Amino acid sequence: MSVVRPLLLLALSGLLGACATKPAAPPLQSRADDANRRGLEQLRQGEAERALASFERVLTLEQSIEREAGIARAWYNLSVAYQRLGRDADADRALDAVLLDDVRRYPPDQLAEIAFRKAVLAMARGDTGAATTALARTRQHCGEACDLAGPMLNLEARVALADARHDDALALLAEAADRNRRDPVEAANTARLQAATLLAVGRTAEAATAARSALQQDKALGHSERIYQDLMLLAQAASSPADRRAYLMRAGDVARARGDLVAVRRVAALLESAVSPPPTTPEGVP
Amino acid sequence: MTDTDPADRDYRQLKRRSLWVAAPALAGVLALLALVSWKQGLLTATSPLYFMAGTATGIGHGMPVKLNGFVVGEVAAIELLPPSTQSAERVRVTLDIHRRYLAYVPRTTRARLSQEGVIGQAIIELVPQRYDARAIHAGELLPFERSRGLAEIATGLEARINPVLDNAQALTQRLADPDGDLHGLLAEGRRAAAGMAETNAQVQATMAETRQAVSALSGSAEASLRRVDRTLSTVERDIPVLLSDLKATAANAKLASESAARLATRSDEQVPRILDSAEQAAEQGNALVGDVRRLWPLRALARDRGDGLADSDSLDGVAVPLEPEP
Repeated sequence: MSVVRPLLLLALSGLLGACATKPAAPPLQSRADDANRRGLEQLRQGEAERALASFERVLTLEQSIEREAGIARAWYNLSVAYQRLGRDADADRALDAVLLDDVRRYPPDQLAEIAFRKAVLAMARGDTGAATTALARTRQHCGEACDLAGPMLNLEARVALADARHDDALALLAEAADRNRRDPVEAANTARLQAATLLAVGRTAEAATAARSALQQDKALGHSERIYQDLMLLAQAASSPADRRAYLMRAGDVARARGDLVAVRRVAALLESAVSPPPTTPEGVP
Repeated sequence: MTDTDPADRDYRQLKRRSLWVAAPALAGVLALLALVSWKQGLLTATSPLYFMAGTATGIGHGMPVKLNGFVVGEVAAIELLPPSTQSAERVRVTLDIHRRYLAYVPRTTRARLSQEGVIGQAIIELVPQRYDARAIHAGELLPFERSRGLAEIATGLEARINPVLDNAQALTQRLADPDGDLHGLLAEGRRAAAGMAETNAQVQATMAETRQAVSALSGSAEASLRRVDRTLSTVERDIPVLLSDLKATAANAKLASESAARLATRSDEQVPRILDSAEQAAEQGNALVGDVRRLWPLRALARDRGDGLADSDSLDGVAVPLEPEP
């Protein structure tokens, strides 16, 4: 009897525990999460203005309950929305709202994401110095098993390529290819960067292989802008004038379909000069 | 009288009984006193905190002190300190904070004089700036601020609304001007609509003829008749809309031709400005369309990563170096 009773109590406790439901999130947290989901969906639909309004709402809600992880998330998403709207300075300032604050408040993985995004924005405006600084900060916040290791290698390689450190770039990309195997977006980025770097050192046959790989992955992902870049790289690496012309025509079609007039003009100019041999000194090579 | 005196014994017994009867009542009174004291906070251990203010206006003795909406203490004392050249803030306010809540007040906390709602009571609100700071100790000095009062808010609002009201007034005057654009437009519209009465009559006649023609077909097969009926009802439904569109189109055409004639004859100096505006509008429209077209591929760029962060990869907005234009 003395054994049966504790056993019965234990079983009853287990049963009650199993029936217990997860406590509902407090209303303000739920509202913030809902608004954030709405913002992400709007961003996915290309409605950056509406997404911006949603993320601003999220920020207010998160600040009202002082949920640090939510505040950092809101600033990050605001930064993405600003960038989609072409407001790059605001995108950068949104990240500073966290990075210039007392960083001890925020979770390290989010700080790493935010610092990395700052590096990407710096590289987007061609500021390799700022990108390197932000990458160092990303590394500081990133732990040993950091999810950003692969993307960081890609960006470091892009910085090296911009600084004409081609050997460094190729070494980083070799490591990135291994790290980014499971991430199709980053794997495509690695392949594209490899193609561009190999072209810069005159290894056109290998560049064509890498560009073809990037094209295949970008087409699977539906990245129009990157498909255009892959086709341009393939045109540059083409072994015959006919192939070059064919790739340029395809790149022109993609650019026209997405309304990128600058790209259309560039392709038209290259097609006009397609009768002459392609230039052997691409951008980034002295 | 001795101890064995029966009268004395009876008296002592009576006294004891009286005490037994009175004891519960006495205990009840004491309990009530204890309860009231506890409710009033007389038995609660408190610790003092201070803040300095320029004036005691709005601050009162016994005013509640709140932290996150909870009453955690009260204003215990307000003192006017002797004049000093070091600071203009000469009013020292002592807050008695319930000791058990002291650990919840970080050192970064500010004391703020505010009001609960629009007509609520005034309170001293403790507003922590950060929660990662150490807890405050008894006797420490808090920074003090006053929240904006209704009058200040109203003044600020007035300054922002006045220009809007002025613009609205100017717009209303322009619309009400009998020689203005709107009235001219309406008058011309009315004249043009009147001219359409004849057209209206012709359309009505055509409709009547259509009805007659359909009646003549009544001998045809039942199915055909039903189809014709449906057609007729559609025609009847759509004719007024069509007529209305015709009227509007005619009115617009007339207005346009009249405006063009006026513009041509007067060679109004506004014409270049109008054309410029139209050109700008067209350019803005083109830019808008261009933006929309540029935006659509971004749909593909946004992926939900499951952590609530919008997707952004290592080359978001970063292109690889491409072959330059020749």
